[in-house]
Amino acid sequence: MSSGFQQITGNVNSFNTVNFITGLDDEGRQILPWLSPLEPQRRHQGVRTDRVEGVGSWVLETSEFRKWRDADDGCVEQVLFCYGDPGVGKTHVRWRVPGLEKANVDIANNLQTIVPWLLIVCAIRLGIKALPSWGYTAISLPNKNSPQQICSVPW
Amino acid sequence: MLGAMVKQLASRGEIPQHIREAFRRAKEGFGGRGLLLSDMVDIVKDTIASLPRLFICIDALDESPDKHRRELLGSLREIVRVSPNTRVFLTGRPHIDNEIVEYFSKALRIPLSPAHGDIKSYLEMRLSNDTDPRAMDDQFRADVMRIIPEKVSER
Repeated sequence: MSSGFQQITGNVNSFNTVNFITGLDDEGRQILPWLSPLEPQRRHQGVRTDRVEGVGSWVLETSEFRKWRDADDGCVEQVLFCYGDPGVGKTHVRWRVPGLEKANVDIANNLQTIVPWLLIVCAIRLGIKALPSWGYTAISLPNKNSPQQICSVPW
Repeated sequence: MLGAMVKQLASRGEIPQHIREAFRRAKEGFGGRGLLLSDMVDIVKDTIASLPRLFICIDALDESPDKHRRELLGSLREIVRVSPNTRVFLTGRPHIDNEIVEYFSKALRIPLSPAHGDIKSYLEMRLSNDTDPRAMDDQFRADVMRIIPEKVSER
């Protein structure tokens, strides 16, 4: 696993400025803006600074969420939709799966060798104004049998 | 939007070979061209295929123009169909619930309404970070803390 991903996972809980484009060759540096001119991490950073610990955690305890998160592939509907009126916290609640705060950075940095599952969360905010503002994070799931060790879902 | 998603995935480290190839093909084309939606869906599918599991999270789906949202939901449906290792987490206002069901008839759905304590915690955080505290007095603060939670539907 390259340094770019290590940097992201290592900073899930303390992201200030993350430079995604590390260790890329010239072509790689051209490819990323070709894929999209947007920089989702900026939106994520904006939203995450407004979150409050514990807020919204009840959602993570619902049977629907747990089923969606934990079931084996093919055993559960793949799509989960959380809906609510403006202001209920769809964006700013701290969507968090208990456990990541305890994850140690060494584990995060050695994902490729010890982690059977890789989990990337793209929290992407659609925008209708000039430039959409999107959020995201990247996280790891150390073990299929301990899904509670995932974490950080930032909207 | 899908481009930004692939960008996040590709930014984890080494850019996958199939993305490099798509880039080279586009560059060789007459004057070079941008990606079509169908190209992008293929790139997403190929990228996901190399991952053990992917969680795609999209916030505020209702804020997207109708046409774009339908294109996105259609693309997601195709991605999910061929990628059982993918889970999709969506948020939006209640009026798009029907549309979600139209594309994902068995989607798990959770209605959100914040716990009273969540709203208060969030307000306290926002007030404590007020950039112009001189505009605030005890009465105003008390009104904010009382009226806003009243206005938001209770869980």
